[in-house]
Amino acid sequence: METQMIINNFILNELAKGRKKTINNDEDLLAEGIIDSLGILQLVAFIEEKFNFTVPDEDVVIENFMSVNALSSYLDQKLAAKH
Amino acid sequence: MIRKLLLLNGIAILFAVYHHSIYWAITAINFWGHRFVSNATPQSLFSPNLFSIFLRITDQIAGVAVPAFLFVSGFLYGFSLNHQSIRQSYRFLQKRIIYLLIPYIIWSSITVVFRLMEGNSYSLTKLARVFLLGEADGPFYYVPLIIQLILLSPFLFRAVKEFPLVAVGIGFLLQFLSGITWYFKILNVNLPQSLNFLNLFKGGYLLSHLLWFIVGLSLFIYREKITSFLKNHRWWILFLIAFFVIFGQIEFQLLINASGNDWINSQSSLITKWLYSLLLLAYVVMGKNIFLSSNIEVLGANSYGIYLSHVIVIEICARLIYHVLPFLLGQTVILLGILVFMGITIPLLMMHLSKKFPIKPIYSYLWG
Repeated sequence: METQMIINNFILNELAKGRKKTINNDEDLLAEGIIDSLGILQLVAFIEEKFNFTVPDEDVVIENFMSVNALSSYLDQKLAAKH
Repeated sequence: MIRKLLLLNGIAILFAVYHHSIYWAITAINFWGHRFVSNATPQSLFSPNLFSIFLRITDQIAGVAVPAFLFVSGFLYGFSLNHQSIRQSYRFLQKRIIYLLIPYIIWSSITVVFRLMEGNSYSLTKLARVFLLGEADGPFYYVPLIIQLILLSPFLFRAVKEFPLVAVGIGFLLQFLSGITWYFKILNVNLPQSLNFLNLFKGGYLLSHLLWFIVGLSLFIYREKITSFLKNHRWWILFLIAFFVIFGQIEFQLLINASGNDWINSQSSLITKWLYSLLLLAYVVMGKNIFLSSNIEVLGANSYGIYLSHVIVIEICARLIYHVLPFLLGQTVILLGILVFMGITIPLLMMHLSKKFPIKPIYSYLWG
């Protein structure tokens, strides 16, 4: 839940740049134009800094970055495996 | 690898600003000498010396900015289009194009107004060229170019996935053929009749720049294979980079002598284009930590807004220095430093302020 909120806030405040006032956690971030492809790179950089873990290249696939829910469940899985 | 692309975007925008600042540094040396030396005559202050060679080499390398943007875009569009039907792809691309196109129209219009205030005039044809071909100012050509590539990207993605070597080969061939026509143009020589077919490849940026977008797409699809190939050949790549830098300088001087020009834009030469491809490949296998990485990543994230607005900022700064601090015009290194600093920080400041004021809802339409 906390991961979802952190990601949602980051996308809304830093990446959506006024394109949306709120983001539904299930919304398709790319298809809806909430973030652009460069936003994916910013998301990776943010995750690496915030959660102190390196996102492997092979995990940067659209399935993991499609929505806030997809990204947070990917992250929760990875962080659980790390601890 | 992924994060290195954000850094590459940041390095590219720094290079773009440096490349466009050099234009004003050369203008200051060649044409504004009377502002800082009492008996200066045009061009009397810029004879070939170590410093001018330094400017040439750094200018040549900084020109990698647009190829780098295309390379990163190719990779990212590969990411975005993977597993999507053509229809789904165009839905996403449509949104992307809107956020590229509207800021481009706004900044092109601002540039046109600025030029009108300088006393220039625009015919309808010229205005059409400004918006359709990106002729508001030198760097604006990038936007119509990237939009063409975005529109082609669903097809390019499939071509690269099915026939990678053929796609890269076609990109290389198109770049080579359009590059040849540039040599005839710069030397003011008409194409011989047997080479008339080359006129098909003349003009426009799509054919000469397609390769870098295709290489970016290829890197996304065949990341592991390409990275391991490049790692095994990295010393060859470095050797070729050194060779092309030196050979590029020799070519530059030969073309200057043969054409009678004072300066040529070496970005269009084939040697320089091959150098750019090698620099991008070398970057793929380089370590990711460089000085001020995280700050440069911030530039990378804001590169489009900086790219659109820096030209006018640099020009205003250069003209202000001409009137207010003319002695700086003769201090090329300091002048370049000031122009690059202002060309980066003023757009960033404007972007930051746009987020704070009630215009935040239109931020993406101003800066992408």
